[in-house]
Amino acid sequence: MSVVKVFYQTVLRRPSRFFVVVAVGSLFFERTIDIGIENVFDRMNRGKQWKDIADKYV
Amino acid sequence: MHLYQYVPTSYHRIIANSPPSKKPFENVLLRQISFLDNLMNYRGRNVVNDVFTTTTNDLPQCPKSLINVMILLHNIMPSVSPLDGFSTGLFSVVLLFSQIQLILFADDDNAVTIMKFFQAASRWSKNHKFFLTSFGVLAGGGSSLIYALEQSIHASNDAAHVAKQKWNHSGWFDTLDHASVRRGWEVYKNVCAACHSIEYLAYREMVGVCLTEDEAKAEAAEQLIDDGPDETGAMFKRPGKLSDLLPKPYPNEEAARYANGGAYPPDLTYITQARIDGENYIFALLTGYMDPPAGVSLAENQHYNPYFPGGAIGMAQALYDEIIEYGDGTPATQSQCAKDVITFLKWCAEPEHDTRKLFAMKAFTILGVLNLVVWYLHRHYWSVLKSRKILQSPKSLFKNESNKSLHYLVLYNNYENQLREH
Ligand code: HEC
Repeated sequence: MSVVKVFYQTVLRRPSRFFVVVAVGSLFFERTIDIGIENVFDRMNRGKQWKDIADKYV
Repeated sequence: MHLYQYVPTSYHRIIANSPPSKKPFENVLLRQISFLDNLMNYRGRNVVNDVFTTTTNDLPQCPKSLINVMILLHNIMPSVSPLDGFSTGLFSVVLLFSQIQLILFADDDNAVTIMKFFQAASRWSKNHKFFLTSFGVLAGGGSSLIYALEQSIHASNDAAHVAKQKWNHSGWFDTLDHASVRRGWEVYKNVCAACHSIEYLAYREMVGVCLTEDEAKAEAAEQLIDDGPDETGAMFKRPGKLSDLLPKPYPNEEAARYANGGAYPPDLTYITQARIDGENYIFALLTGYMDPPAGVSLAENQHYNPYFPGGAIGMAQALYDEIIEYGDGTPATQSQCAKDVITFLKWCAEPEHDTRKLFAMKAFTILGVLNLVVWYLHRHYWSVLKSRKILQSPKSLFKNESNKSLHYLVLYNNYENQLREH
């Protein structure tokens, strides 16, 4: 409860703060999601993409 | 948690001055607030907050100004942001939605508008109903139409049904096999290019997909491309460059037909998209040649293929075992060649294929997270309506009151009702 309350008071209560948190948070969120998912994706498709086989041809 | 903190300052005064005010409305409010306050602290629920945060006079300004700031930022973000625009794109969809909501359904009082979106359907405004109905009709009608068209094509086809192959790019998140794309390019170049053009593909597009830059330059330089006019006004030929499109085997359709006994070899750039069952059909076609069954007679230059509508096709069997030799040493059986050239054609038709699937994965992940948020919001907003004991009231009561006091009256009325009940 108190965690929620602190969160509410510090982040959600004022739109100005809320917005800053959203803007800054989205930067980190997006980078994390991007890098994380690209890793998973590359692992799922290991050996199939051009970057996996390109070194055979240079 | 104390309810007072959610009440605009002007009402703090009322609460502090406990003796009954002369204005009946303020009395109502006062009683109501202390009643709700007790209720809330007694039962430890925070259902009631919403009513105040969304209906008091000063708070409804927040969402709107917030949205304006967001739109401003959204407009400048793509130019300054180091990101790929994906989150801004998502963002804009959400914004668009809230904008539509505000534009179409805005009343004097934004708070009421916002609440409306979460009301039962019977209380939606006309605009709101019209918007959602036409959206539903368009979406539903459109998909039925597409479905119906798809069905009728299948029903009128006399060709043999094609087998589904296990393409290793067919999963939701599977990329193309680029080694196969590379072999497919070898097949196209050495076999199909004699008759079929791929006229919308440039050499540079293959760089980093199935060729290195040097290889693509060399491939281009092998071709003679029409260019000009030079300073004397004459056209001339020069070796190809990376930026050139692939040359066509025939200058025009007439020449192509003339050389192929009247049949026109279609351009292959988008062929996997242009045939029902795309890759499976072409695979069946390339590997499905056979002698015509008894009773079927073919014209000169025609060949029998049960997968081609009508059976008589103007293209002779193009692929045989060992018809070419692969650079990477893969045994060039007929089916291997067919698979590879189709993978290559698939890439031609959908060069964005791999990126698209990567983005699908990102979208599903992010939408999954958003789904949780929306689910929570849904519960949150409906919690007000679901405790109807507190909120329900006959409409006739609002007649003489302004929009802004509406919710207080609602609350008051129920308070009285509840007193009567007990
Ligand atoms: C000798 C010339 C020739 C070669 C080589 C050739 N084709 Fe064709 N192709 C044709 C002609 C002519 C048609 C038109 C057939 C018709 O409409 O009856 C055709 C039609 C097609 C079609 C369309 C079939 C349809 O449903 O309309 C596809 C797909 C196709 N070819 C793929 C290939 C591929 C892939 C290769 C290389 C492996 C290839 N062709 C090699 C001449 C050729």
